[in-house]
This record gives sequence, structure tokens and C-alpha cells, in this order.
Amino acid sequence: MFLHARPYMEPTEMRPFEILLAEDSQADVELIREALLEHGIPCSLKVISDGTRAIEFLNKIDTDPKAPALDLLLLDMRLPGSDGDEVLSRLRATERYAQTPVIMMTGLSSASHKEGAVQHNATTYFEKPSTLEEFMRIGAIIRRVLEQSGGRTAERAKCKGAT
Amino acid sequence: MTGDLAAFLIPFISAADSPETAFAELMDAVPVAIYMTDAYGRLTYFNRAAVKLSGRTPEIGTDKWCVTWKIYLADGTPLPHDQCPMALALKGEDVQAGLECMAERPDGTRFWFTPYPAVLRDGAGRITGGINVLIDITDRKNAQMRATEQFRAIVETTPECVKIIAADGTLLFMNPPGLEMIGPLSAEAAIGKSIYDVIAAKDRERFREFNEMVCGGTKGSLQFEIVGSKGKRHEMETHAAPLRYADGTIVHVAVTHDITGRKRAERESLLLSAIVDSSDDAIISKDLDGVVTSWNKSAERLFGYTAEEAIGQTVAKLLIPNDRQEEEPNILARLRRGERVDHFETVRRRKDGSLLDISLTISPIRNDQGKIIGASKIARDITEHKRIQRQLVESEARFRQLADSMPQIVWTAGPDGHLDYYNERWYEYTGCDRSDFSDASWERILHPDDLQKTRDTWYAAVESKEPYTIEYRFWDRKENRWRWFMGRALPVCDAGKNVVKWLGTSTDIDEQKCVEDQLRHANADLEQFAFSASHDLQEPLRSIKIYSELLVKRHSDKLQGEALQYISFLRGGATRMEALVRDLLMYTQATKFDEPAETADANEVLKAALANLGGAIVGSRAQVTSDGLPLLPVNATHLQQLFQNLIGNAIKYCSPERVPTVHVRAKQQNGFWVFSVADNGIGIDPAYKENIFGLFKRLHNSDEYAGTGIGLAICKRIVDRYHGRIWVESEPGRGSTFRFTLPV
Repeated sequence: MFLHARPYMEPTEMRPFEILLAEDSQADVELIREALLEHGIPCSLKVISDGTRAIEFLNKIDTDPKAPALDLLLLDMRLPGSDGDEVLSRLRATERYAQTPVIMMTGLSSASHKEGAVQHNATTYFEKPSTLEEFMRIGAIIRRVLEQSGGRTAERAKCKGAT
Repeated sequence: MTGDLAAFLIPFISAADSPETAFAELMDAVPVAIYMTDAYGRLTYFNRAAVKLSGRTPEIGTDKWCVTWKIYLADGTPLPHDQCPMALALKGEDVQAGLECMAERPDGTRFWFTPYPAVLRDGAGRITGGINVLIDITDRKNAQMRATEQFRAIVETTPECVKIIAADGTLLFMNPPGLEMIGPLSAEAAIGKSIYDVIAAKDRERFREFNEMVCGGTKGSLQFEIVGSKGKRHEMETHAAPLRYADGTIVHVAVTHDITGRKRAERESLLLSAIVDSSDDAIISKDLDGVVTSWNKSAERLFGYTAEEAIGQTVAKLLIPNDRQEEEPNILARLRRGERVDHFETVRRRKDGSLLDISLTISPIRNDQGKIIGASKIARDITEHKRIQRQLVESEARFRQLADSMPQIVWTAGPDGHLDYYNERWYEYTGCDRSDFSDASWERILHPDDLQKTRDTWYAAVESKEPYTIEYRFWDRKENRWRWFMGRALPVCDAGKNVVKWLGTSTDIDEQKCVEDQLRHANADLEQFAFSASHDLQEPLRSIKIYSELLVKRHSDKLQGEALQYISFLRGGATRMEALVRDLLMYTQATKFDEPAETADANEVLKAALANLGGAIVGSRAQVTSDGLPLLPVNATHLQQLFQNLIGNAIKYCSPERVPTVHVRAKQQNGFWVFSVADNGIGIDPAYKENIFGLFKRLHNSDEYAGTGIGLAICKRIVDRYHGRIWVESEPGRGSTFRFTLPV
């Protein structure tokens, strides 16, 4: 990690946010890590670079009561293996993570991708920009989404209590 | 005078000594019956003629003269002996002179006579006897009675009405045919009534005057109408004469006949001759020797001979050309057999020698016994018809020649949709039977999936008389596969807009169809490729840009001036390439909208385009103006791209010497909207005005003016899609005007 963390967000609980990033571009993964650091979001980032494996992972944590909670899914629309659409619909079909917020990411403005995102009830949509400054805005978006789903922090505490 | 004769004889007979005297001999020689009686009527003398007349020799002094006879008056009533003229005379009474009586002899034979009795008186004037001369009138009476009987027989047997009318109109007599005409009525119902009642009101006064004229002693004739007792009208013609009775009264005797039929025949004949005269066809009648007996006006016009010239001449001599002389005997022979000649097309000669195409219809004419006595002949001038027919045959031949030389299948059908012709190509392609024009002939080779649609289209067209174009597949028997054809059918109409023919073609469009399909697929593939490619190309560019930024941001301390410059080239290249990819994507999508064009308000579209160009306009301080723009049936996005590219260019290629101005306007011309976007920029060298619309075509390097060379190509692609045109007019250094056309 080549960015210095400047935490402005204090986790309300004693653990960082659990974020799953489904993204095949290593360059973008690094940029997202940069944005998370820049916005001081304490998190544990799990990266999966393949749609099929992302679905397998969701299946596994859904059936495993010991699995950690999932606070956010950062989902690229174009993934090798299963597409982003499929990953999203699998998530919505899980018992435990159906309400998990999702930020859909896409390379280029595309009406069909936006439609797919809306259809599967993505929380928000992020079109990857081509300047550094614009790209870093994803951090602010992640922050806002996590804050808005704050109602579920109690659940996160409960889960922790159970483990 | 006969009575006087008897009176004259009396002194002679009285003076005679006996009947045997010479005088008596003389008396016997007189051919008139003479007898004498005493005062009681007993016979005292009779001559030989009296014996002959009475049929017996009576006894003198005993027999009364007429006791043995039965005597009748002229009207048939018996006359008792004591009422006989002789008996009355002996009683001293006056006797009617000239009484006609009939006597029946003991043997039954009858005779007519007229008695002329006279009485003999003594000196004291007492009647001592009588003398009677009987004139035998049997012969005259018989003749008279025969005449009466004959008259009666004639009156009763004539079919005409025979009537006698009094001067006041009273019907005195009418025979049964007459009663039949006015009635039918019985004699009792008619006789004694006024004849005026049966005369039609319109003729009644005329008839009254006529009756009075005849009863005044003048003969005459009259036509009038009667209304029978059942209301039936008859037209009558009467020939009347006065009849003077012995008492001096004059009555009206008339023979009247019903001329209703004759009148109708006359009218029909007039009508018929009017028709014959007004006909456009020559109507001629001729006898069985071919001699013309009548010749109407059109015959005069058609053949040039007047009726006077033609009647009496033979048809053969007048009209038939030398090389057709054998026709007339054939025609005459057929007529004699009672046959009709219908629409026989031949050639006849006019008076001036020119020839004429005619159609003849000849029918035998029979007399009232059914015997054929001649023929009526209707000749119609078909010169024009023949000419048209020849032209038709020629044009038909030309059509077939043309149709056979065509690469398409050609067919024709009647107005009702029944096929009647296929060209050679059809038989080559299908191997179909040359006599088969049924629907099955084409349905058999039609693709089952196209059958219903093709049938429906064809029958609907026959119904609506509208042309159509349709695509279907026919079985190719040589290649064992279906081939696509385009079928077209066109109704051929006459002047009255009635379909006289259907003309159809089937064109093999199989290759075209394949190429179209391939092209469509290729286009779709290309679009998909361009879309995916531009997406995928964007990704690495984005990374190059962001990471070169990040490199400068995080590691500027480790980078030398040259390295920084290289990184800026790297970023510039990536940015340009990004724009290229973006514009290329727009180019491939420029014509992607397949939905029917809605109506776009060009004013609104222009506003949206200017909003998108906002930054560039503000930066250049350009003034963009427009006249009122129209509503037009194009996709708003397309129009916006046009405005955006052209106005964007106008601003981009502005002259550094002046404030850029752009003016947009539209006017209608030749069924299109012609839009113009005029600027006061640097202008375009006319040498390039054609190829600036090519893809990636740029006139300036990116250092002078940034650009991808795709904007105008997008414009052209959009305008092409609407079958419009785009061009530029420019004066280098002064400005350019881009114009494009779009549908109204």
C-alpha cells in the first residue's frame, strides 16, 4: 500500500468494515484501496477477480454461520466468468446478505449496465472516470453508503457478540 | 191497275150468254186468276188460270172460292176466311188494296198472291156478287224473301259490326259481332239504347255530328274509339250510308270494323322504320334472289349508294368484291334453309370502289305462312375494330416477345384473377404443364410458409384493384432448394378505370436477399464489435491516464524534466485516443435507431445542442443565432448530433481575427428541409469540400485544432440515413456554410 491512511471515519464498533471487491483489473483494485485510504475508511477488503468465484464465496459465507458479516459489495459489471449481474442477483438471493449495499462499477457510460444495476437493486452506480481526482470520489461514495446503512451496525455488533 | 182491269171486265162477262162462249175462251187464255161469286160467296165463274192457281176445279154454285185454302198475311198470321178481302168486299166493307197474302193449297204447296176484289150490284145498289182477280206474286215474293234472307245471312256472318242508328243516336239494330265488340252485350241490352254511351268521350261529339250528317242523307267514314262495357278500348273505323224508310225517315246504316290491331301494327311499323333509319348499322332487306328490297340511311352512308340506286339491284353486283363472289350464293343457300348468319366478318365494296371491313348478321324473313321470302341483313362497319384488333395482335406479339426476353417470370391474368399467360422463363423454371393456369400451378412450387400470405395478398389485390409487391420463395427444381423471389402485380385499367388485365412479374432476388442478409449480419457484427472494442479500449486508456497522473503526483521528486515531458505525451496520446474511441462509438451508433422517427422540434434540439456545447461557446465568446426552425420527422438525437458537430466545428475553426458568429436556418425546397449552419470562420479550401466528410479526415494537425476527424463523418452518416445530402460552401478566410437536407 503506497498511500498513507488518514482515518476520518472512526468505526463505531471495534472492528473494521467488511467489504467484498469483485474486480478483475489490478490497476482499479489499487485505485480503490487508495480511495479507501484517502477517505480513512477502516475496512477489511476481500478482493475476488472472477465472477464465478465471487458467487462461490457468497454461497460459502451464506451457509456458514461463523462467516463474518458483509457491509458492502463493490461490484464491477464486467467480470471474467459470471458477469456482475449474476453476482448481484446471487447476493440478493442470499439469506444473510440480501440487504447488503452494493456499488456497481462500470468502465464506460452504458445504458444497459445501468438498467441491469437498477433491476438488481444496486444501491448506487459508479462510472469509472479517467482522471485521478474523479476516480478518488468513489471513496466518498463508499463512505456515504456505509453511513446510510448504519442501521445495520447493530446487527454487525450482534454478529460479533455471537462469535 | 189490275183492280181496274177486273172492273173493266165485269160488263163483258155479265153480257155473255154462257161460259162456253168465245169470250169465255178468251178469259181462259188470260194468265191471271179470275173468279166470280154470288152475294154469298158461292162460285159462279172461274177461269183456267184460277184452277191452276188454286190447285183444283171447284164446283160452280156450291164451293166458296177460298174455303179449301189456308190463308196467311205477309207476317205469317193466319187470315180467317171471313176476313179475306173478298169476304170483306161482299160485306160491303172497304178492302185494303195490294194486300200480300199467302195461301196454302190442299196439297200443302204455297203461293203468294195479291187479291183485287170488286163487288157486283143490282140496279138498287144491292150487292149481287163479286169478282176477284188474283195476281200470283209468288216469284216476286220468293225473290224478295231470298234477298232478305241473304241480307240477314250476310249481316250475321260478317265479322264486322253492322248497325243501324237513328238520328237521335238510338241503336236500332246491331249484329252479333257488333254486340261482341261493344260488350259483349246481348241484343236486348243494347238495342234501343243510345249508341253515344259506348263512344270514347274524346270522340263522342265527333261521332254525334257524323251520325247527324249521315241521317241528313250523306255517306261518310269515320275513325273513332269505343270503350266496351268491360272498359276495353277499341279503335274503330266505320263506313256509313243513309237509309231512307218508306215513311221518309232516314237512319244511319254502318259497317264498322275494329282497327285496333291494324293501328298498333301501323304504329309499330312506324317505330320500326324510325329505328331502322336511325340505326348506325346498315340495314338492308333482300329477296331470295339477292335483290335489294329496302335500304336504310346508314346503308347509304356506309356503302355510298342511295336507296333509289340500290333497291332493285343485286347485293352481289352492288357490294361484293370480285374475289368474294362465292359468298353470296352460300349465304342465300343458308337463308333458304332457314338458317341465320351471325356476325360473319367479311369485306364489302363501296360505291367508290374502296373496301370496307364489315360484320354481317343476316336473318331469313318469312311471310305469314312461314315461307321464307327474303332476308334482313345488318351490316356493321368494323374497319376501326379490325384495325384495333390487328394492333392488339401485334402488341400482344410484341408483349410476348418482350416478356420472353426478360430474365423475370412474367404472367398475366384476367380482371377476375384467372391466370391466362406465363412467359418462357416460367416454363423453364418450373417445368410446368403449358396448359395449366390454375392457382395450383404457382401454389405447388410456393414455400408452405409463404402460401397463405401470397394468396391473401393476391386475392385482396384482385378485390381492391391495387398493385402490390411481395416476397416469397419458389422451389428451384434444378438446385433442389428454395429461392427468394419478389412478386409484383399491376392492374392494367381501361379509360373507365376498369381492370382489363393483371400484369405480374416474379424476380429472382435470392442472391440479393443473401447479400442483404450477410450485410445485415455483418453490420450487426461490426456494430457489436465497435461497441465492445470501444468499451475495452477505454479501459486501458483510463489506466494509462490515471497512473501517469499518479506517477507525477507521487513521484515528481524522482522525475527529470524530460521524463515529465514524456509522461505528458503519454497522457496526451491517451486523451486523444479516448476521444477517438468515443467518437468512433458515436459514429457506429449514429444510425442505430431503428424505431420510426418521431417528430422533433428543431428549435428544442438546437437548444439542447448549444447546452452541450456550453463550455466551448462561452470560451470562444461565439454568437449563435437561428431563425425559426421547423418540426420534422427525424430522431431528435440525430438532429442534435448534426447541430452539435457543425456548430462545434464552426466555433472550433473560428478566425482569430473576429468574434465567431454562427447562424442556423432552415427552408423548404423540393420536398426537403434544407438546413444551413453558416459561420465566419477560417473557411475550407474548395479542394477539400468533398472529402472532409470522410472518416478520420482532418485538414489540420492536432496542434492547431484538436479533433478526431469523425464529426463530419457522423453528420454524413446521419443525413444518409434519411436519404438526405450534406455539403459545404465556403470562401477560405471568410467563412463556411454547411447545408444538409432532411425529410419534411
